[in-house]
Amino acid sequence: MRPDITAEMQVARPTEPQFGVTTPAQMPAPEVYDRPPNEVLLPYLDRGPLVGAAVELGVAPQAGEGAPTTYYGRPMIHKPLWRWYIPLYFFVGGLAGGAAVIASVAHFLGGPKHRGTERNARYLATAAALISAVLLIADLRRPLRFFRMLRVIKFSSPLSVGTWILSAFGLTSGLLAARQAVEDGFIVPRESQLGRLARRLIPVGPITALWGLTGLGLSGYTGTLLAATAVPLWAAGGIFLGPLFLATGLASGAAALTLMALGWGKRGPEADAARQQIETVEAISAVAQLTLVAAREAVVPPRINQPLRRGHWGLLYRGGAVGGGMAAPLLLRIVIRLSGRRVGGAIAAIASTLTLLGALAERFAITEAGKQSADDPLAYQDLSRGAPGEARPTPAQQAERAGKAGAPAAYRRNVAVTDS
Amino acid sequence: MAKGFFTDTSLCIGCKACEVACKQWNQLPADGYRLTGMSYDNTVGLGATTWRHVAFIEQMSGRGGVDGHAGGQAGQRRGASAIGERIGQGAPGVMSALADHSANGGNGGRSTDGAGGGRLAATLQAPRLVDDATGGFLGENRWLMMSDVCKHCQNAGCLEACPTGAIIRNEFGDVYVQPDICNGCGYCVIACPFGVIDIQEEDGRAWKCTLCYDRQKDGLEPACAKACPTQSIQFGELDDLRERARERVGMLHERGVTDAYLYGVNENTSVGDLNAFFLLVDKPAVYNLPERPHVPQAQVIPAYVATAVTAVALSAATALAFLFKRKGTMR
Repeated sequence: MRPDITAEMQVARPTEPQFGVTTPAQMPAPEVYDRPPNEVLLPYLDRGPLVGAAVELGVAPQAGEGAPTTYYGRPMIHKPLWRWYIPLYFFVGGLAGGAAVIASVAHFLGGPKHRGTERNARYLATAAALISAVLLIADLRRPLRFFRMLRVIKFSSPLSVGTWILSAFGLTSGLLAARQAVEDGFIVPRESQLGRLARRLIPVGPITALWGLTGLGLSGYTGTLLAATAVPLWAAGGIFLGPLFLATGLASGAAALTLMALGWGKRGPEADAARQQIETVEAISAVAQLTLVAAREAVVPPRINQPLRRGHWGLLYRGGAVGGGMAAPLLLRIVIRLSGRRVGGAIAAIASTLTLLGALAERFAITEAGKQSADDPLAYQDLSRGAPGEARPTPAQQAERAGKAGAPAAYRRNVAVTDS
Repeated sequence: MAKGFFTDTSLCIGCKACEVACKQWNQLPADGYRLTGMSYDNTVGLGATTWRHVAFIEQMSGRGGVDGHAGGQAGQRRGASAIGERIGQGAPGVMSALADHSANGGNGGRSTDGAGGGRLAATLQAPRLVDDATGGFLGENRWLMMSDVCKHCQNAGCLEACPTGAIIRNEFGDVYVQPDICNGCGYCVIACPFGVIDIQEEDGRAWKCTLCYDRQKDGLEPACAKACPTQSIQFGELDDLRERARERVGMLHERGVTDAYLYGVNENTSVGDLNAFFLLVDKPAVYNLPERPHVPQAQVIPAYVATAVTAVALSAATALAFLFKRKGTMR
């Protein structure tokens, strides 16, 4: 014991964190935020080129005047409590949804050469849906109460909508996988009585259509889930998050199907043609991803977007997700095609692996950067500065209203005492 | 009809009786023995076990910065000397602020003898609250104190976000979390535009101010309002409270505090009027409140539409990829 610590002080100090206690080590240190030095350009630097132009045109409100004010640098909102399960779920769920979309389009338009694609996608989606459910339930602080999600459906809550989408997706995936297992002779012999019954009871066409639709929902709703929060990085430009997550889900679904086809699919020109069609979907999705990333960057003010531009999550997002996971595989495929060769198995495997890793990086970077932006009071102030046309009533206006209401006699008497 | 809080920060003396009363009544665990070192605010913010939080804002260099951001050394020195002068004068502003209140009869008829209140005010010779010579209680160099609480928004982000229906609007018009339903998904935590509701990790459920639902059911006012010694926290019918708050703003303006305004009344924000609203004398950000709070669910429909449009476009592109390639490569 240090000599300056008396016995009484020891009693008063808890030795370990108690119920509900935040220890000093967990307390974020107050930060002093640096501002751009150029005062003239400040509103523009601070709010992004497009928003700056909007301010100039008078369709967006002015930036706040003078030095920024924070309450000792403390966060204005609580940050997300989600653990790594949730970004991993965004990846797994998006991949499953994307694979289902591709497989159901292939079912109706792809012809017989896509039987293998469908088979892979059915098993993949079912496994991924199960993993998704486990991840989501594990992240609940009261996991045994997960079924409470199923007592309501609320369109205002993307989480509620997503619960039902995942349930429907899991059901359709499971039915299709069960039928596939029967066709493959895994559960009961294909031509046995039970096998025939199963194939008759599970109508492939309508279920596949529903499967594809729920797959679209599963890939896309997660972005909406993030947009409908107070977290600055997600809410600003949030309109692009759903589309971006959908495109990423489609790209990673295509990449997973490509790898599965290369890993244990059939060989031959038919299989190659099928694989190349899926690779085309992956390339289209990559173009969509890059477009949406650029659109999002253009509208999100830099202060809000800072965690995705600097630091290790910024590096993971820019280098890993956008550079390595969207641009690199796309370029690789374009260069090979432009040089007059076909994209061979090895190149396709590399490109698809990059796409998958990029999708994983994107989910983690956006989730974790969102936590950082929630801790930044100036980012939240940028978000909550107001929409065009909205203005707080000035103190004078409020006083005018108050004056109409009339101060009570007691107050007037008080004022009179003061002034005399 | 609906009941709520009017928190008049111009009357708050930062005693934290509200925090203590809230913890006692609601049996909330302590938050530890740490000192932040930044001010007398060692509570820092609202959370799962802290449903009232008294903010301390020390403005020693005029308006603007909280912790010397805007002021700098010179301003701080000037502030220090001004405080010394004010202490020498016995800080009359505080007394006048209290006198104003007792003269009004207060909330719930604590001081029903209006004449007595008037005598008190007259005896104290209450000065203007902003004084050119000394700065006054709410003048140039000042402490601002505010007891923060769940705003019980009319369009509540947490309520809209809750996927289990655990968060409801109760018969008193307030937002209440049913602890027997909540499964701790944490989505309400990031849906609150004010950073109020939080998950208690040890317990695994979301908690926030209930506006003393249990006390209200028995016709009692919430514990914090009951404990507040200056009636900075007032509880009652919202229409009455708003009326009273407007009168208070008018009175403060007459007495020189021309920055006084109401936060959360008639502001046309997407969160609507706040059932717990505030009288502030500086920018909302000074009190760690958002300038224009938005209910996050305002984004839901545009986001759904954008996602659906993208879904159609990408499905069409996928279909085209399959159709075109089939023609090209099928033999």
